Amino acid sequence: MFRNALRFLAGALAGALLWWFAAPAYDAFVGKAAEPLLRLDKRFRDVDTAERGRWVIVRSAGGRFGLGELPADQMTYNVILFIALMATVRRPRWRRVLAAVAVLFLSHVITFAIGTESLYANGRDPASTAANVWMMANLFLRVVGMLAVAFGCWWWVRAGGRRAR
Amino acid sequence: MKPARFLIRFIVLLAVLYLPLTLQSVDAAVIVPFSRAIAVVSGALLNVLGQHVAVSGVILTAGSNAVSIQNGCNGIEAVVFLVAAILAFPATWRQRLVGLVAAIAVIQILNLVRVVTLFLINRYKPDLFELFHLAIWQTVIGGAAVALFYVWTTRVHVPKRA
Repeated sequence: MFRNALRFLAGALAGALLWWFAAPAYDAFVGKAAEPLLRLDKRFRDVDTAERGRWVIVRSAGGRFGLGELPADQMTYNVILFIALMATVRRPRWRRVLAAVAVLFLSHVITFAIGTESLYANGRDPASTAANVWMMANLFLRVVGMLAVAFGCWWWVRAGGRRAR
Repeated sequence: MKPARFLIRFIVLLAVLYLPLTLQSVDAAVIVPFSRAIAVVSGALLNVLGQHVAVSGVILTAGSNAVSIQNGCNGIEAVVFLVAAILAFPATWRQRLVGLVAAIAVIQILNLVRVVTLFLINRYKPDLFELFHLAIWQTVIGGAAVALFYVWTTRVHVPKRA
């Protein structure tokens, strides 16, 4: 148990450093990866994203909608918990670890896309059903989803370890 | 229990338990009063530390320094996580109840420490606030919730089906 706690702390430290310094570049990458997903909604046909510090701006190339800003680092900080938890898994199966990283990245892309939809739906009509549904999905992902994805990935990698503990 | 089966049960329970909390009416009737209670207790703790804090709703103020306890800062996310995980894991109802009461108490005590330290950081080292708010304390609370659940799973007897 004590060893696991130490491994968790070392992982958390590494994760915090990585997130603190790499978040702007990573968030910009997440924004770009979310563009095809956003284009499924015709209103975002010409969506373009760009990094602005620890935020990502969303804009329309043809001026179809106004400029929006999303606190992208607030959607990706579970990278720290993910790395900390993964550090406690001894002799993991690396295929499972890679799959878990892919799931984490995908969750960030989906969270970004839903955050964008929620932002604009709220701007159009905050009392509409669409705005409420997007807001519920956004809150779910950003409040409990962040913790759940890191935990779920860890649980799955841990269960597939070569030596069950 | 197979990990995939547990995870599906966990995610379904998480959605069923959390989505009602995002409704405006539930937020006003349950979450905001709960956050207010955290603000009152945190304010009292900060006053014991000589901070001369005034509490108004979910906002703690001392001079020009103010901290607001919003969704995601009241420990509810960790509590919902624990309820979903403990209910999804095979155990007796008594074991679940004991695990939940103990784990929720630890999380809420830890959350009070989070609010108090974040207030102090915002007052004396505001440049570090964002790092502690997002990176460090969220990881500590999330890590504690996972650790509490894991420790509980190692202590429960899994009932066998006939």
